Amino acid sequence: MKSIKYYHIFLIFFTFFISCKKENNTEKTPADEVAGYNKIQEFTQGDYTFYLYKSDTGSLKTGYNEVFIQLKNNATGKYVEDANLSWKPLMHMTSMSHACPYSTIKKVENTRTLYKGYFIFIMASNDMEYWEITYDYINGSDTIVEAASRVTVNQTAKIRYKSFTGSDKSKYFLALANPKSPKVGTNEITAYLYKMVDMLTFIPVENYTIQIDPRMPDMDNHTSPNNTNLTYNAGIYKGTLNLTMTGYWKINLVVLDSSDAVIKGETVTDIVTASSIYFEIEF
Amino acid sequence: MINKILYVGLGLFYCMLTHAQDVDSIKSINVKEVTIIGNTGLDSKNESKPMSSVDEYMEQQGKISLIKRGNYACEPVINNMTSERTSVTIDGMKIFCACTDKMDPVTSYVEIINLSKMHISQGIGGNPYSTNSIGGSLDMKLHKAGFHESGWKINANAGYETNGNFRILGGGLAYSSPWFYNNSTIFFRKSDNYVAGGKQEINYSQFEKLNLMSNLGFRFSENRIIEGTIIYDVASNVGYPALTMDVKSAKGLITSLNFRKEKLSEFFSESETKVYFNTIAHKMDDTRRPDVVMHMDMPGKSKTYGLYTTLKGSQTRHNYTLNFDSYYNQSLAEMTMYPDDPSGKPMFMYTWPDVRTLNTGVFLEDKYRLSPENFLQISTKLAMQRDGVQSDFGLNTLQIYYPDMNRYKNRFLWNIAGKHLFYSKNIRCKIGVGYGLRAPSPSESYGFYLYNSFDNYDYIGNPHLKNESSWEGNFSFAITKDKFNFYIDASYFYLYNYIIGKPDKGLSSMTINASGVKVYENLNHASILNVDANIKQSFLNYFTWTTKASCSFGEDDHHGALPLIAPFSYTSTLTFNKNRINAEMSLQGAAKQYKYRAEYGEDQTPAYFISGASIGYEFPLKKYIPSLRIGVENIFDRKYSTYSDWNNILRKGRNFYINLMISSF
Repeated sequence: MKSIKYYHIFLIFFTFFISCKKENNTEKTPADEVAGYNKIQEFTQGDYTFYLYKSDTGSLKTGYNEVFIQLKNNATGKYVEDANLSWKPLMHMTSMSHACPYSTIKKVENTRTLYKGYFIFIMASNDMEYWEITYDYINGSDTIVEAASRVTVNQTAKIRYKSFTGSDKSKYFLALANPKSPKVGTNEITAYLYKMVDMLTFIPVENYTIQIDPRMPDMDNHTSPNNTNLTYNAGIYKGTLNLTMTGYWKINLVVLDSSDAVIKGETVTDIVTASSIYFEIEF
Repeated sequence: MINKILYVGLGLFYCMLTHAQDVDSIKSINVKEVTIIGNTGLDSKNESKPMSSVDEYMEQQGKISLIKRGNYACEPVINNMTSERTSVTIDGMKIFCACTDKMDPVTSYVEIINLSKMHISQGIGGNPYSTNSIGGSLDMKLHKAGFHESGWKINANAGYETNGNFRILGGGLAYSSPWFYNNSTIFFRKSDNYVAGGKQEINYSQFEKLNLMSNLGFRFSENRIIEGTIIYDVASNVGYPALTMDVKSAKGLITSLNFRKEKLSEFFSESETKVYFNTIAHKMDDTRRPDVVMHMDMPGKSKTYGLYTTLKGSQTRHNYTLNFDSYYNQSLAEMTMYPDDPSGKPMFMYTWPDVRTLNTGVFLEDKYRLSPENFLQISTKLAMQRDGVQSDFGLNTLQIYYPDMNRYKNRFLWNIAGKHLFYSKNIRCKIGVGYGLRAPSPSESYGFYLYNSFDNYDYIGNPHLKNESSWEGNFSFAITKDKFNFYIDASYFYLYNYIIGKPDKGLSSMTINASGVKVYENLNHASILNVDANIKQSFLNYFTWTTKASCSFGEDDHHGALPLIAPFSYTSTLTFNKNRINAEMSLQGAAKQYKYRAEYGEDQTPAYFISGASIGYEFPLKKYIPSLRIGVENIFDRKYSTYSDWNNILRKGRNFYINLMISSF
């Protein structure tokens, strides 16, 4: 018995030793840290160049977009490793302007030069109307660089984002984050739910429940068993989504508030073949 | 527990071997279960329709009934049990169908001309090559020219049937010498739609089949023989009127290499070792159907690699067989459905998610002579089976339904059977008991959304199924006199953990307009009883009158009927045999089906009877013996279907046929 314990302790130390060593040995270059990502944009303001990436595609789309940032100091030729970055999206419409739900910017764990955050774009840009993102790089109370850039936001082919007015008259914004590349089998499904306070202020909604009912309209509204509803945990809604085959799936949604009152959506039955709010997945 | 059983089994066998006193040995016990087709593959004299299909042939034997989904590739049923509970082998080779919807039973990949014997064993035991069979087994023995001095032989066959414009053409060439033989055959069948009774054409009942076979044998020393077999069988444009789909092609390639040694040792008189490989590719086709809701591709394949070694010997009162066999099967079937909107992505799934099965077993059998008239026959088989899902995609899919499912599962399977046989001049009697297990089939364990058009349910396999087990008791009694024969045969099966699909209301069907989803589960128990009797009387020198009757019962654990259990049925045949003329008249029918279950898609099948007649003549030509047979089936053009006709598809109406055979001797 004792020997087993010692063996375990030894193993833990050994693992620790190995993992420490590994980290030191394989130091990633800034290029390594964005390997496999697609660049959306790169622009220079003063001494600094901003590089924007996405892990899936090279373009911004309506709904949830996870964006990675690297910031290079052109004077030193080095990437900034301890930047205090913030951003603000703004849609310039012909008659008005508004923002959208977005996160703060955080350093990506286990990287030296990579930062990330997300936007939930609530409309696509067009020739007349555009999204502009303003970046701030500050150090203490000093603004080191402030930059603004226009970005193109495309409409997604399939619905991954839905805005609606709830039964409480609030305006809600619901965006599908994962699965990005769905597979047949069990997928983790994640989504963000925001509520509009005013045109420039959107706040995350906590402790609601998002019921899901995946259906295949082409297959007599076939559904899969053992899905779990999305529940709130640390800023994000998570559940499990089972997909029994490839093809087009409609993920019917019902949003419930923290007291399980329906905010929006209908349960699918033989008569009601779809909810008024849904996501679409095709793979 | 397992070890105990193993020891008991082996101990029993050892006792049988060592408890030897008498000097005589038994060469072979001629059991009724062996049916001989004839040594040229076709016995022109004894069959009313020599160029019948394997299906028609099996049906005539009385012990096998057929589930018909069309005019081709019927599924054989032994003791009212289908392919999950029975085993079909070709010369001892395992071969598994490639269609998830049972459109290609193993028997559809051979031709009657390929065969010399069909060895039908009922219940547990009796067939060293069977695995996972508790209902019975069928081993189709291939026709091999053998080592004789007979030199070249040739035979040619042609047939025509009016119903369906059915054309049959085949021939073979054989060469035999004491050290080498080869026999090769080619056989072709083609039929258009057949017409049911009352002039009703059955659409999508056409088929076409080409079969090539070659057997080679080489004796390289007096006791050593090497043999090889290759069969290529391709069926194309096969209609399945009872189903929503047809078959574009079903291709089977069956190969084997066989090493035989005779006069092996004092203990074993002969040994046979065979390695084999077969592959089947099956493609369904819905493009010819007018009202297809959604077009889909459903290809399936099945590959089997196997080997076995059989040792046979006899010592004093013992006559024993030892067999080791192992096979590895891959069954994979997929389904791709195309949505109406051409820009939509196809929907893809595995219906058999690359199911792999490795089965290794040992079979022991001894026939022990208690007295000149009394024999005791004991057999046992012990096998290990590892089966599971190789495809990650498939595993992920099944884990939606069974989150704690493992990729592979090991099963220990065994059976033991004992019979007491009594043979006297006029009386034969057999009484036996047996117990055996079977593993669930790939569909039962791992099938995914297999649509069954019989009960209109989608079926999902269940990887957590327990092995099904069966207690069996059988009895047969026969009186054989010069001109009179009678036998009665009864078998009773009490099955534990009986596997059957039951509706799961929580699951959503996939097939458009299906009633729901059924999941395989183990019923506590079920029982099946089969009784059949046969009377044969010869009179006025040339006439023989044979009457067969059979009835069956099948019940689940709530006294409800099991599906596809035969009602009372009968056949009565009068034959006339004089010199070169052979004529036959027959009547065949069944009573109304009283026990049926709507839950399993059954409805009551009404009573029917049909009659047929045929006449054959063997021309008196010495070197080439041509024989001609003409006949008519369903003379009165009755419109009927049997209990086992899928979705009550009507059987053939009146049919005239002519068969011509020429063979040189």
